[in-house]
Amino acid sequence: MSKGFNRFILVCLWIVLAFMYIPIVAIIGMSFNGTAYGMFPYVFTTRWYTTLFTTSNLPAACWLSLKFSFLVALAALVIGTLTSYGLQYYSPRLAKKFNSIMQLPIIIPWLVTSISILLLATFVGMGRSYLTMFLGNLIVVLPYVVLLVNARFMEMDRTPESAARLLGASPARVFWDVTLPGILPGVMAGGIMALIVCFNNFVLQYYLAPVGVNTLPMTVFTRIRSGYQADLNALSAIIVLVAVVVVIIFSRLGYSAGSLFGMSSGSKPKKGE
Amino acid sequence: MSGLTVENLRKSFGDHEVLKGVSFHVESGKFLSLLGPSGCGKTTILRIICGLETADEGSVLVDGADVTKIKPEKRNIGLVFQNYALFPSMNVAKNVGYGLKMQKVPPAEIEKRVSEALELVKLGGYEPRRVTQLSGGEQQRVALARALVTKPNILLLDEPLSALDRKIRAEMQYEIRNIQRQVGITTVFVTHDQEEALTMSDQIILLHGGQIEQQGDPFTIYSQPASVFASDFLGKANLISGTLAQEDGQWFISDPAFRIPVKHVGGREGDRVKAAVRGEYFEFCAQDAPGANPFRLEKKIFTGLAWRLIGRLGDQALDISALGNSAGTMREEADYFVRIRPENVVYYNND
Repeated sequence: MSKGFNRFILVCLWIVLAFMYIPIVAIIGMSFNGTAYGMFPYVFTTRWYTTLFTTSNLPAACWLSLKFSFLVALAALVIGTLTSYGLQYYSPRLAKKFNSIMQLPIIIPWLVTSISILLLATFVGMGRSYLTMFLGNLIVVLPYVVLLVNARFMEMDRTPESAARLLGASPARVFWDVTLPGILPGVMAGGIMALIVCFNNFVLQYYLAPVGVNTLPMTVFTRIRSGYQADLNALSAIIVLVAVVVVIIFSRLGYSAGSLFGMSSGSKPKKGE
Repeated sequence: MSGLTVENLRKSFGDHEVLKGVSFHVESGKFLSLLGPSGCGKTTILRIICGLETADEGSVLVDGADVTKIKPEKRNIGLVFQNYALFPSMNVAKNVGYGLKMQKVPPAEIEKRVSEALELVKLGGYEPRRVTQLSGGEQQRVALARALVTKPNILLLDEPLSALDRKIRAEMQYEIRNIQRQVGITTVFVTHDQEEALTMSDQIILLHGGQIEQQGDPFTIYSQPASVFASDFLGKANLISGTLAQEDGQWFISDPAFRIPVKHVGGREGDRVKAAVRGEYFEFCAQDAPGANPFRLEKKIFTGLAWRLIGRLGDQALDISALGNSAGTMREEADYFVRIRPENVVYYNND
């Protein structure tokens, strides 16, 4: 391939990267801008951070969202892992069918899911409640855990489990000692995915949260309609920082965000002996 | 009855009948090989013996006790898998000690027995290593140590050498046999490699299509193949067609172009038969020597240990192997004479 073409491809890569990251960099910049509504002139200030931690209603909503997402992710992790483990005992043909059914909640628009859950909850007398919101979010994030753990089962060698069995381990012991360590990357990836999807899920929470309860996405939504304040930028900047730290920790531990989700990093590592 | 006994095993997967009634017995401390092409059911037999698979019919007896209904974790049978099946999340010591931990052996004793087992497979001092950093041969040794450390009643080996390269494989063949003798454990070895089976076993069972084709010690199996399949699978014997004939009490397989002496084991004069003769049993001789048959040499190939001499006996293809120095001067497209002893020929009815 010609040198000019290679250079063109490289430029494209940088444009795509810029497209992805300029908004994120911009919001960090704006969180330190004293002029309202992200306008010029740019005046450096830490006022928004002070507001965020004193008078703002954002930290409370964020804390609620975190606690809630963590609970949902934990439940999804346990239920999803056991579901995937059980699926492995079906014949490949049946397992494939179950898998397609499991994926449906990802494909069906959340809007439809949330309205139908709200209808059902109202019908059985639960209405909008913490439990309704919990179950709704659980339904939506479960498939991610099942799919990611399934992927691990697919690529994992299952014979060590037989080996453990022959060495005297009961089936439960085999699961704990051999199976679980093997699928752990998939379980972790599923849990993180569930956490992120749940943390982000405005639609489900908007429809199912009990009246008067506001999660972070709901609070942000209301704030943008009723008057934007830049303490939101400050919170965004902090969330970005946390995400970056998490990614760095993972790569230090030997995972790339991609490998965690069973994807390749794009370029092949050199195969050593 | 001590040792391992397998009685009338039958197993089907769907419509496919994998085992059609297999019975055999291994004496205590002996080394048995189950040899056969892929799909002959040899691995299924192994999985039934250790309990990972359930037979539709038949039973497995260890030292006279029926274990057919016992769960795999209670059978105390060691299995070395083809792909080693080590626990990737544990180091070498944890892998080898796993079975002892399940038996609730005190930690201090586990440590001692693990290090003994590693000495046995010549991996002393490997305890803290990660199994993912070991070579194929080393992983194989760890798997062997792990299977032996619990002192199982039976050791099963499922094609443990097929993933290793040639040189290490030869080493491990010797080593495994050596360790097996040292420990004195009854062993069943599954392989599709006839050379491996011949080298290692006290006894070989040749399987074909879910049934036992032939059973015997390596020498008998090799020199007296019981069927066309057996003669072909164990190191490709020559198959020569002819008619059974008799002259002065000596039986022959004859053809207009040659006459091969045989020991009579059945059949009448005039029966069409197929004789199986190993290439190395032919002997070159003079034209007037008794029993001489004409052999036309068409091509010779040097294979290192021997020359492979490809040619024709009458109009039938014949593949002779001759040791390195003896055939060096022979020329291609020339006529020679060969003969063979009757005890080195086996024949089968031609149907």
